[in-house]
Amino acid sequence: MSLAPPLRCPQTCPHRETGPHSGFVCRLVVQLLDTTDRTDANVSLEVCEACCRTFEPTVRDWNPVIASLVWSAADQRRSAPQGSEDQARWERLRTQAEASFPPVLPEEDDLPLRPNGFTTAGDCRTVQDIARVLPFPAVRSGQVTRWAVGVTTAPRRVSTLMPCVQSLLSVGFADIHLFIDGDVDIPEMFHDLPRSQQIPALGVRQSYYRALVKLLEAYPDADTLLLVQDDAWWPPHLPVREYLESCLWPGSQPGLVSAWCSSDDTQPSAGWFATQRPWRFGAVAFIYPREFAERFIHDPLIQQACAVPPGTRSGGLSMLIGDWAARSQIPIVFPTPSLVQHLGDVSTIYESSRAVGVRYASRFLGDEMPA
Amino acid sequence: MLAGQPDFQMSLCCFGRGVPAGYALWQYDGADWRLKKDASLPGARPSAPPKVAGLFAGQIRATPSVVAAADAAV
Repeated sequence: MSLAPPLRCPQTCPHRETGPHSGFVCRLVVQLLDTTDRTDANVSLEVCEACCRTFEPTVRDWNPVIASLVWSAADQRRSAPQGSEDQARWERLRTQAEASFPPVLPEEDDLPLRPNGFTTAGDCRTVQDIARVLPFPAVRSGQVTRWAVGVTTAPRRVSTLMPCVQSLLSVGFADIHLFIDGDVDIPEMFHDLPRSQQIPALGVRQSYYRALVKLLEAYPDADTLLLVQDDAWWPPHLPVREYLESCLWPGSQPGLVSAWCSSDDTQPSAGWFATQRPWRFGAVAFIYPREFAERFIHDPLIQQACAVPPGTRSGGLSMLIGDWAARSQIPIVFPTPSLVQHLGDVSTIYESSRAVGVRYASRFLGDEMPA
Repeated sequence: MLAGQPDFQMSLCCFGRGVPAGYALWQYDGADWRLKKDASLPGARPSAPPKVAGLFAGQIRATPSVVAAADAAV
């Protein structure tokens, strides 16, 4: 499996989100401008394609495309009252943007194509491409407005955190909150991600429970919570986040959605299915409507089951969630093919468990839509 | 320019290409590059506009300014 920087593509850009009038907004620009007026962050496909030609921008490092947007916004606002705090801030932004334009000769290009840069629209798959393999649900209820995304991780003999988080970023999720149970070496490239850490380790149930509590607290505007275990692998070249936003919530009423489908749950045909029995095989990647996450953490039996002393080996998380959902009459819906593959060849919970059999997705979207 | 000096010395970010004579900012309007800011040092002027086509309206590019040629003797 390649750990090379993933192909940059507008459809999988973690900064791109749906804006007004079916357009798009760059969340990085929104963050940099730090105003309530998001119009300066409206981006066309041409802007996103240009940005994807070059290095991925960050809050600290702006590529010339991001710098162009920030400079234009700041330049327009220079008419703020002289000496005002606002004027000083816009001047700083403008200055920083100017510092991000590498001076090039007239015949040179300041956006040369990077090895993983975007070239043509044909390089990237679309939501419609995914839907040809995994059809949209026939019936939907509600919609996603704002995500809160967390990854739970614990010490592993063979770490899978890097490919997990990289792939999650690549399919369009950003602002990933790491929930670290115990002493885990976090790769440097993830040092800027928000994190919550427990030392000593609490165990899988307690840490999962606390992660949900924290996601609800830290992201009060999120109506949709995605909690991923660190051995989940997402197909990095596909706009899965955008696809999910076109699917959630499958069925006539919102329920839990598992992006993961084990081999034992795989259905004969592709599509979205509601489990007919309590969920058993994997808490790899669950998506919760906010209301159900709150019900989960306030359920007395769940609280009791997760209140194990720190360091106690605790498993059976997927059965715990499955039994709770069945008892609460909350449907669990899952896709065939699975949207994620299970990487955890060396389990943190079960000494000799491997990612085969029920711990493996016999049909995985990434295999059926290779890059 | 402020008091005859560029607002920002860009040589630190220019990946090796200096701006000893200052710089100019150009903005693409969808068809052509328009001069948006002249930050040339005294005695210098903006270079020719970028020859490489822009990728989107609103894109900004910086070019190093050039030392103005002396007036031809008459």
